[in-house]
Amino acid sequence: MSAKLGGDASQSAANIDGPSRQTRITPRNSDGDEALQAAAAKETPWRTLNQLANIPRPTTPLRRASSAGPSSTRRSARRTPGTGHRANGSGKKVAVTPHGRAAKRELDLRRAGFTPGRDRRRSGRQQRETPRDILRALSRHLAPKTLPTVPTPEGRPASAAKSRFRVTDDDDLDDEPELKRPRFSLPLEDDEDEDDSLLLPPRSAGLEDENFTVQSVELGRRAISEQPYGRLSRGSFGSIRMSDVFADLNDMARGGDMYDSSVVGDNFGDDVGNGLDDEAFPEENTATLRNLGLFASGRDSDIRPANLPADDTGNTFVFTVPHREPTEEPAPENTTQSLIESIIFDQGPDEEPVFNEEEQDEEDEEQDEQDEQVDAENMPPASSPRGLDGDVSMLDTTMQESEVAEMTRVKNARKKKVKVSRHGIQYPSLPAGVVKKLATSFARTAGSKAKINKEALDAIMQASDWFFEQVSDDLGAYAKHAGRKTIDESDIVTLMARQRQTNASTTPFSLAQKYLPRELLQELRMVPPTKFKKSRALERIEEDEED
Amino acid sequence: MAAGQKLYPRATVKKIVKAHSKRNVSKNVDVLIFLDYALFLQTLMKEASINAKEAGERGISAKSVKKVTAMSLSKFKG
Repeated sequence: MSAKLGGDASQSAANIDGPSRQTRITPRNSDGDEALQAAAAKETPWRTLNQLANIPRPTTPLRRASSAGPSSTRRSARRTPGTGHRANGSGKKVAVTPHGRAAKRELDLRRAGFTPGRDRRRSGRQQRETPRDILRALSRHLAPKTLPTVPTPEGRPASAAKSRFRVTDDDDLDDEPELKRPRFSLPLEDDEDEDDSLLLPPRSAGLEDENFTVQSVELGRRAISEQPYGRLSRGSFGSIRMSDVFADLNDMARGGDMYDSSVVGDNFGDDVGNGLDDEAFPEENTATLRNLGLFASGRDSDIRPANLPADDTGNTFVFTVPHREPTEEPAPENTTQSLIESIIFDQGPDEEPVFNEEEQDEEDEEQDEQDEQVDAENMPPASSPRGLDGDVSMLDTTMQESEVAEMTRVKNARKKKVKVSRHGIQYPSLPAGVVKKLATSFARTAGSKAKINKEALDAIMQASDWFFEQVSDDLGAYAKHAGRKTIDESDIVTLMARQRQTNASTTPFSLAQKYLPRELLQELRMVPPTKFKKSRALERIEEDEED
Repeated sequence: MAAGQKLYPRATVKKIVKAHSKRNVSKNVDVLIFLDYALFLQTLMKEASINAKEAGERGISAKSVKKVTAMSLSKFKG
């Protein structure tokens, strides 16, 4: 160690090692390094090499000084605090040169060597006078005397048994805390069965089959009073979170029960009676939501032209769950379906407008026949319980009124829906005729020959509304980013490029030639500045793609 | 595609975009927006018809349209 650390290090090591090393470094050769070199050269060439390597370093003495300080204080603390402090402080003052430091250290060492207490503590002779040493001495004295007394013929088995008992006792002692630790978790384990039974159903409820995205699931749930369509009746894609759907799972059990009973036809009249109260005053929000076909489940409502009392909760929320085809799954089979599906089914009448026979397309005539059959099956039990109360006529008239109301509502909604955007501005949606014409032509090019029925058109209209909202948001963001207050052509060109609708081979202009009529094309051509801008943007895009 | 006398109401498209973005729409942007919409509708109908064929339906039903709506919208996210 001393060799490695160099001259000063060896001195400090000598300090630590004790008075035996002290003698080697006397105040005579307190020049330090030379003496140590001489001493080290005697020992091994390796040490000399190390020391030679250490000599030219000017920084090492300083480092050692800092580390040597505490060691000296440690030693001085053993003696008296006063001398320690003095030695430390003076050491720092003296330690300007390595020689001076070495001399100081030697002085300290000699002082330490002269103190008598140091030797005593090092040897540890005084510590034997501690009570423990006294006891040890006592045991040494007593041990030979007690040995003959212990081995008695009776004592051996007893001691053996005791030792065994001790072992077992120790085991018990060891076991007890181990048993207690599990006990902390034991009640939890006991409760786990109950907890599992409580927790599992919500985990598996409803969220598995559907196309819920992670974003939608992870968003916070909004309070019923703060549902977005409460304020704004727009059924926008962005304003409705899937997480809001979750609130409706409360209605699961109730809805399922009611559905079952209604299909069987036992309590159908009660459902109608309850539902009519709400249906007489349909809310506008629910109306728009329903008629938009927004997230609507399959239109299963043909069976029962009445709302469910689920509206009583003010929970006009619509399940975003897709959508069973009523034609594929006739009503009686639904009784055997799972709980979730029955809920969806049960939600259906709330969200979907009722389509009566007049409204159906020619394609749905088969379905209408089915519906009529179901109606025929269901109607008599519907009116019979009321008939006992004498309210048959009332019930019928109210039902008709409700149907009429729903029909008008549907028609009104089809004609013109005034929706409110996020900024509180009313906006129309594209006329259904335009959308239908476009969609039909596109569907024809896509290969399907059949014409688009009204529900599909509703869905397309809804998608168009969402599309326009999304596109407008994006365009507004682009314009805002560019510091403009006006949405420019560059914005929509950028948007289309980002949508990957345009690329090097497909320009907006070629797309326009393909999809737009000549008048609109001329509109585009007629304005030179916009065209210039557009072409410049296109050049840039092409350059980027070439690079 | 054979367009009729008027393909779409230009003012309506402009109003829709204006309401959603709360920004003015410069002069001929609505044509391009409508072009984008036509592309979207084409995608939507294509996907819907594929979906309908996979489901074994005759025409394009609302169900298949709804199923592909989110996907088509996400394709047209800028």
